[in-house]
Amino acid sequence: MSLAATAERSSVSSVAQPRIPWYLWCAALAVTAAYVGGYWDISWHRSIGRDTFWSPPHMAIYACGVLAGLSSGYLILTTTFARNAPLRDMSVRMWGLIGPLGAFISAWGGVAMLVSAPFDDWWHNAYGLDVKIISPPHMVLAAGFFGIELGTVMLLLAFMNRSSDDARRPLQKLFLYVGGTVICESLLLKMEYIGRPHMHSALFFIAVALGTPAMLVGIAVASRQRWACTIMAAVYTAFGLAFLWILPLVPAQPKLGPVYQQVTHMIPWEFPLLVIVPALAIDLILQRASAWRPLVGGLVTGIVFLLSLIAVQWPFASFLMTPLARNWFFGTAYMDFSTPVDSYYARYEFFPHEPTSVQFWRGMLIAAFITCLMTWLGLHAGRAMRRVRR
Amino acid sequence: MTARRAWVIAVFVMVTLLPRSASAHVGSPDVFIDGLAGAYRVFVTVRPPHAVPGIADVEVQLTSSDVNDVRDVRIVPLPLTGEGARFAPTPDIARRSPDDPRMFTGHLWMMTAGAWQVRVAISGDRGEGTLSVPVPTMPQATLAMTRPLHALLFGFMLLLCAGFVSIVSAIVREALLEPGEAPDRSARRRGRVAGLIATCVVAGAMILGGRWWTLEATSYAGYVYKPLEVTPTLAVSSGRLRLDLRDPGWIRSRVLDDFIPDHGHLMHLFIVSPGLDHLWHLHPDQVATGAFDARLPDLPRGHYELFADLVHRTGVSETVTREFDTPAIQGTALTGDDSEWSEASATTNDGRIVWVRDDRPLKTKQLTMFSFRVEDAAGQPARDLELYMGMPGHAIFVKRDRRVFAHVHPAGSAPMAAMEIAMPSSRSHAHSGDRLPATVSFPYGFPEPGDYRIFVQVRRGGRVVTGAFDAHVN
Repeated sequence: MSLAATAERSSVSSVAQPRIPWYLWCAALAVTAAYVGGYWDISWHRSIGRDTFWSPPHMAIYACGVLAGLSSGYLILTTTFARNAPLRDMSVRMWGLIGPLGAFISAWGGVAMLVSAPFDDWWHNAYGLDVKIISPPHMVLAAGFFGIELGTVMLLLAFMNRSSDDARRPLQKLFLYVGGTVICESLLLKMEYIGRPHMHSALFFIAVALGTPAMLVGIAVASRQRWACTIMAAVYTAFGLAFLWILPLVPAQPKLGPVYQQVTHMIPWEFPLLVIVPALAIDLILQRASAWRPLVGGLVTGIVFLLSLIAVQWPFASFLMTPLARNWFFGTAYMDFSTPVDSYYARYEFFPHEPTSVQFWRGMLIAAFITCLMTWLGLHAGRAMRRVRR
Repeated sequence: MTARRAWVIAVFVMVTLLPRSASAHVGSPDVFIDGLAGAYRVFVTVRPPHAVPGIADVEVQLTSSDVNDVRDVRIVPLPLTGEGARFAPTPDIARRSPDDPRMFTGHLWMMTAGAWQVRVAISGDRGEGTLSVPVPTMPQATLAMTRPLHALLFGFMLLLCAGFVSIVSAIVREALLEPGEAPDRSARRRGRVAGLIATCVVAGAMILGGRWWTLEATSYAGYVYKPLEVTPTLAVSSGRLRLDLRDPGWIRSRVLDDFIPDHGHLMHLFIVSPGLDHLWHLHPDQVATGAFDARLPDLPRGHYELFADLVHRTGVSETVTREFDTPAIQGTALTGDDSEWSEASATTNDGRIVWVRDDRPLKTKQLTMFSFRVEDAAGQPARDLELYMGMPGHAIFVKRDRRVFAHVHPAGSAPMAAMEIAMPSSRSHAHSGDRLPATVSFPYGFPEPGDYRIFVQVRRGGRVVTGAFDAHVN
């Protein structure tokens, strides 16, 4: 073993402390702020309607950018300019700068968030204020969020993959927590298509299938944790239930019209999807499928994910439409002030996205294909992520 | 000549106009109201948003006598009709101007295109009062991006694209290397290939993003207000003008069979000459859905422009415009509320209308009370004024280039029909038939600088009297 290699090992061991460095906590806090701020902002628009640049949910979103900028900026600047920077040998080089890969990705996400602000402001003036989540400037913002989340995942991953077993465990927990927020964010972004009235349509399953299974499987495989998917789904469920039960305790009144529903408190989003069941099923499969080829693994995992989601979400959606669910626990009585009284949502009816059975089954086939594709991609990505060192 | 043939022959070539921003008016979207909120007289200005959903600016001005009596002014937006008009959101407290204690301002979000109202609630020593101001919200156009912002966003886009490519390249080149290990030639090559693929991905994302943006812009362009189109058909021999309306497509709630009378008439038709030295104010009858017919008075040969005011049942008001040419028409004598004015015959011996104004220059976007005194032949205030279509007077503000047209009443620039929907229990804008004061005032603000002509119409002793005044706006 050369002297240089010995020095590298020494450097690695000095970094791989059981304690989690502050900048990893900072990055994890950033992704939490992004999700909490995003959810809160949507609730704000459903309850109060009108906001300003300085509204509390916006401040939480900005905090994401600040925290991510702080951690990634510190890592890149110290690694580039500080002598004997401990992470220098575990970094990548870009544009004359040196830093962990995750820090660069987070920094990219921060810049995207920054760019989305003037873009969104102009968009409001050109095409009107926001009435939907999916718009080009919001997608730039979402790209920023996902950049910061991916950067945090990569940062944790590199630390985790370089760590000894003792140091790995706390990093693994933080990694799965961040993975859970990634699942939260991916489903939040699609909320316009996965709400209660859509749950008996193929469109709902297509929307859920886009991205989410890939993130779930990819992060789970990378984490090497037996119950990784279940833990991430539990994080998503815990956040969803906390919002569902806590936000209605906060008084709020609409500040813009038209007002079709009386609102006296913050309106949360709906009862979280029961993704914890397919997540558990995927965990059970992944525990037995380590030797499977990705194609087979992706196919089996995808089909099991979709079938188990249908098995639990379909009847649960029927239950959510009944008066039994109109209470604080399931929260289906909560409607934003602008929900028309004759809408499917207010009438507790399913929206017929696919009027014929042929259209429905064609949609379900598409959902199955996308789910399998996503789990296949997730398996590949997860295995590659296990080898990330920087 | 058969009647059919006469109609066919009488079709004249119309000069088409580009659609202009319009609501009840043309090029004059702001709403100005002089009304009563309980015991308080208020002047309200509402500037609807340019893009919808958007933010409307609201100004509420008290009279000097009320300034110390009023504690607070609250404003709230809600649809003019329908289910949404039943429940008001929480009102905003308008902020009192530190420079002018009579002035309160606020900003309200208007969420959909169509007929809205701003409810002004005033509380003070003399109790509480409410005034509802009808406000049409019409998306006017898509705002263009300024050059500096374009350059800024383009620069950031390049930075993000280059950053993405570099990050992907770095991932493939170095992410899997053990600490301290330098990327070899093969790793660098893989990095370059990955960068190339990432460049293609970025290019694809840019193309797809551009298409998506175009789709969004096209979708919004369909939401931008498009005035009703009108085809005028002149029957020279019978002296009739038929107006056929056509909906070029806008919001689905706009239909052509829901017009309601606005101070007694479904349509108020104004025909002006290019020099604004002729004015006809007619009231065509509806003969079919979206079709109106008017008997014309004598009309000299020439080129004219028409402005026709209509109000839908929803409270949305529109003005349709069109230019047309005509040969000399031998029409019929004016009857009812129809009236005409020409510069050549403007001088009469039985009185005049005087614009009562100070020397201050007229400014744009500023609520101004335009007061006109009607004098008899002896120069004394006229004592024979009557209501003209239910009101002491009508004012028509027309810009010399005819890019601006507004039909205003003493209660304000909102159509009376919309005001009655907004305040069904109040008739504060209407006037009793008792003797009318000789001075009639109109609240209005010019939307843009330029030269305007103001036509003022009152009824005296059973006949309509018109005065024309020129105004230069800085």
